[in-house]
Amino acid sequence: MDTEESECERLLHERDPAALPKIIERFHRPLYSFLCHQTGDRSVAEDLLQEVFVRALQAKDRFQARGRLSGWLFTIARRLALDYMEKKSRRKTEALETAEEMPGRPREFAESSPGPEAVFEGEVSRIRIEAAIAALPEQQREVFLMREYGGLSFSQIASAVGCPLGTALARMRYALLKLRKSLEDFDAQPRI
Amino acid sequence: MHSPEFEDLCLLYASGELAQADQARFREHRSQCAQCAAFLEAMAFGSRVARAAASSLPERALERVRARVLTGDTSAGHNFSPSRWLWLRIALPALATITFGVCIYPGLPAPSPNVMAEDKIESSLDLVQSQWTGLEAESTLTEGEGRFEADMSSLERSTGDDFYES
Repeated sequence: MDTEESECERLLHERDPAALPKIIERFHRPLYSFLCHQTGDRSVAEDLLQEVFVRALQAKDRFQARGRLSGWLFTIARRLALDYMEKKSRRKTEALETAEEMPGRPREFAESSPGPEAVFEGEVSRIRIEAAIAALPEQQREVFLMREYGGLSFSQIASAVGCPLGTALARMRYALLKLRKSLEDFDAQPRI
Repeated sequence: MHSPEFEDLCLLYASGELAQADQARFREHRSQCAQCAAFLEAMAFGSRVARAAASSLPERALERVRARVLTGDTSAGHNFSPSRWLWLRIALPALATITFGVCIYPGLPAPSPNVMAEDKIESSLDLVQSQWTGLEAESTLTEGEGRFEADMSSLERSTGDDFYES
């Protein structure tokens, strides 16, 4: 656990008003990255990010010292993303939703402006990476993202996801091997 | 001899969850196992990939998050995408129309919009007509009252004069 996270936890336990601004500062980026990949939509990720902090604020008294703050926040984020995806899949027949999806980019949330050529090249790489992550099975993707963005331990991930430790490890293993395979020609590129 | 178990040990070792007792055994195996080395490389690659695909929240969006969470200001908050609320746009006018129909015509079969419009015009005309008739009656009465008063005063004058003269 990093010192910033420990500090956030301490402030939260002491019910210090400075806790929440500090938590937002520390966790907005990893949570936003996680939510972007899980929902495939930046504006939705922003909405859900707000919701994560609002719910954390509402339930701060239930936060226990035994759990790590990051694990708790990612559990909330995961639940919200799952709820959103469930609702989205129910609406999927709507014409507007179908029209928004571009062929070849199943989950689009890269920056839209291509910019100069070098930036454009970087964007193309990024789009490929995002597509490769999006192509992972849901359960493998969430384990991969929680580990990489949240820095959660596998015990925490197993607890957040509700599976045995061995299953969490296996999902991570498969995710890594699939990413390695789908992006094997990326080795030569210095950007990654 | 390599097995998936050692890949799990790689993951646990990297996350700091590998028990002290297993660490020595794992290190020894890793130094001799090409497949473990390949897996460790895949782990490093995964981290690079995740870093490259990390998203930064734009400063304005972060301000919106802070505003909503810290001050409860929802006006600066949500970005409602049209598709997510399309059903509400359709449902609300439909609900309003149904409610209007039920309240205005309770117990009757719902008339067609044209009939409803004609009825509304007719009832409005009736209302205007009745108000106009009331105004006319009022003005006639006032006129009559005026005439009556004038007649009385002239009568008084004439009878008075006559009386005094007689």
